[in-house]
Amino acid sequence: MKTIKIISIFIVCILFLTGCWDKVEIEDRAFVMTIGIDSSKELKNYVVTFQFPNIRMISTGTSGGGGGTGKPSFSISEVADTVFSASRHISTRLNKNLFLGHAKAIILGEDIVTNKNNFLEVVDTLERSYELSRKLHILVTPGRAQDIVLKNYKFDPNLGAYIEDIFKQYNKTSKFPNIDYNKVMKSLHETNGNAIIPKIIAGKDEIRISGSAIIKDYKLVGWLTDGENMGYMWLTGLVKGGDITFNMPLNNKSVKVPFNITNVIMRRDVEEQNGKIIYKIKYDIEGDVTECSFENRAMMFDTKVLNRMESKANLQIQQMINEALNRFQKDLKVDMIGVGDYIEKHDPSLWNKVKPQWSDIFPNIEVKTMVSTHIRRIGLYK
Amino acid sequence: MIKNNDKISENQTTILLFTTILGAGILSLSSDVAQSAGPDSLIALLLGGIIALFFARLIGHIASKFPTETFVEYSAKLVTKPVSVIISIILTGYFLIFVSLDLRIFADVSKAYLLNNTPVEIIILTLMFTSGYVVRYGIEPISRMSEILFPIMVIPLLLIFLPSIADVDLSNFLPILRTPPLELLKGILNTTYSFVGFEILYVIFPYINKGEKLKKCINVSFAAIILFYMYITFYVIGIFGYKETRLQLWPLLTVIKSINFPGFFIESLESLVIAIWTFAVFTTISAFQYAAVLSISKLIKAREHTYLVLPTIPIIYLMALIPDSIVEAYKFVKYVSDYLALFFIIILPILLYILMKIKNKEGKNNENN
Repeated sequence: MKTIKIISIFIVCILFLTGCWDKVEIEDRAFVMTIGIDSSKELKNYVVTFQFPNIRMISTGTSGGGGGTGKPSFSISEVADTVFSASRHISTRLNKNLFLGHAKAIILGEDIVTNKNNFLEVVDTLERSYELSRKLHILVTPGRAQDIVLKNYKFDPNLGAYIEDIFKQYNKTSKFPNIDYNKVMKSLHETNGNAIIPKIIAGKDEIRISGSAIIKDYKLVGWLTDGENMGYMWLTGLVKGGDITFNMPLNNKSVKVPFNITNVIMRRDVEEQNGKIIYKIKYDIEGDVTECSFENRAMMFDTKVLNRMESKANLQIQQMINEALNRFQKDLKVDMIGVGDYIEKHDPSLWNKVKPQWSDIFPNIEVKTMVSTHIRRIGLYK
Repeated sequence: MIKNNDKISENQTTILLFTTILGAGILSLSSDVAQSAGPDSLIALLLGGIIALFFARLIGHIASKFPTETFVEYSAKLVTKPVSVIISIILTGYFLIFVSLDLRIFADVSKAYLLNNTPVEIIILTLMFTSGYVVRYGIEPISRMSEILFPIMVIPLLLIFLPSIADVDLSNFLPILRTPPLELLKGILNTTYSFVGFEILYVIFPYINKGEKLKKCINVSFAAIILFYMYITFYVIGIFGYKETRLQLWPLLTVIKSINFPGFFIESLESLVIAIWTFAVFTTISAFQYAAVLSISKLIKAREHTYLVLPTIPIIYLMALIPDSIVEAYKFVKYVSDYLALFFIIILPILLYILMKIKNKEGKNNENN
């Protein structure tokens, strides 16, 4: 009797207390790294493209077994009414389970961002997803996202990792804003539909991330070029590095001198003078000069020359900032440089006064910039 | 099982209180606070915690005047017998409702994130039976369980946020104290409900070894829980800003998704957090279930509570399945905290305290006569 009891308990344990209903074997999963979203001209709304690495190749290729064959990564496109249903419909053509938890980049085609409804739908899908990580990068391409995602690139066939590694080096150039999905969403929520999204362009076998797209009221209203983008980043305090080039007259000739930024400190202040809002920004910039004309031996080892260079650099940066300011204030008439945000946080009583007509007030505020550059190093030669 | 004498020590009381307060609400905590207090969330949390601490001390004080009795017995002395029976039944119901709502939210979250194909009923039942198993053995094993789970819960949650400290934007907490005072007061009151869980003090006092040390226990556990809540909210609002936090259902999980954990390739930290959170829910529901079962056993004057555990399981299970959706579950949570919790953590202690004072005066007068 006792043995029967024990045996029955064992059987119950084995039957009911083991296993897992939700297990998925790793080779049956497609770890999507990049998602491209376009709108479609046909009956359905969207063309969604997924790219995922060839797991078999990765797992055997590293051990030198040579068992990995075929392409390093696969792409697949699907037409569907919503982004979510596309990921489901793909299962009719793919022998793997799509898993979006490792996605590194989402690329939106231009026709998504030019259509307000499409953009709203896409953004909502992304926000509600349980799987998607918030560390991914969201990008806009002038053209179709499909064309970018369907290709394999020479530097890294895995597009998602490729994009992420480029973003890690954003402070080398400041040509594109270091804005990830988190910041885009935050900006959309706080300003009710305004955001800046980095731009991606694909070449023959490489990609380029530079410049950015401006979203106003959930719609694309324009693009920022590389230079304007750096001006925008100056205004928002995103610049952490990068380079500027200024003209330096030496010995009746003008020499182009590159200045490499190593550190930026930005201070802001706002005040109201007889009904006009004055927004002051003060920059302290450190960096080094990395190149000058070869003829001018020992020229650089002179503080006067350095001071002149510093003032030239100041002018150059001022010009950049003013260009971007004009673009936002006169052309687009949209506050994306965080003035309203700053006033709300640091001068709430003023904000309560200007908040209702902020979109009309913003183009007329006065922005005063004070730039002071400090050249700290000059390379190895005098 | 180690033989238990049904008495819990000072440390165990502190930890039991902490783990009971830390429950399912931690996922949505920052969102609720941000909704009502905006950039002053941290201040609202601190003040709300202090208010909750005051009422916890009040309940502890009332219970300590009747060191061998639970709420069911001593309330009969303060309010009349029939009224006390009614209040006790409502209290028991409140404990059970609380358990079922916690369970339901737990089941929905873990289904969404981890167990896509497992039915909600199975998730609820497994946790329910686990909790029932501990509850059968009484309060001492529950506290011991809390003691074991406490470091497993708290330490990873403290460490997991550290890599994201660079992403915290301190200007999200500006402007300080510009919320209208009435709004802020409402916010503080709302955050008080995040500290729900100390109502178990109504019934567990007789099982505490050194009743005179209870004040210190309550102070320590509340200080810890306030700091812990503030720590989490600091990161959530610091990273998202209060405007976005307001709109999120479970900001804690969303913030975990946006943390870049350096060095190694862990991508989905949220499953780890849900695993930790399972312990938090488990300790909460076991403590509440014990309180409910104990109240029932005192009501029907049973010698022990063990055989009453199993009958409560189907009740809790059915109640947990009442809400149609996660939205409705949160609607019920709001009802419970707006009416029942308000009554049991604020109105009732004040009422009992006043009655106790009156009774004491009468007693003294009688002695003098």
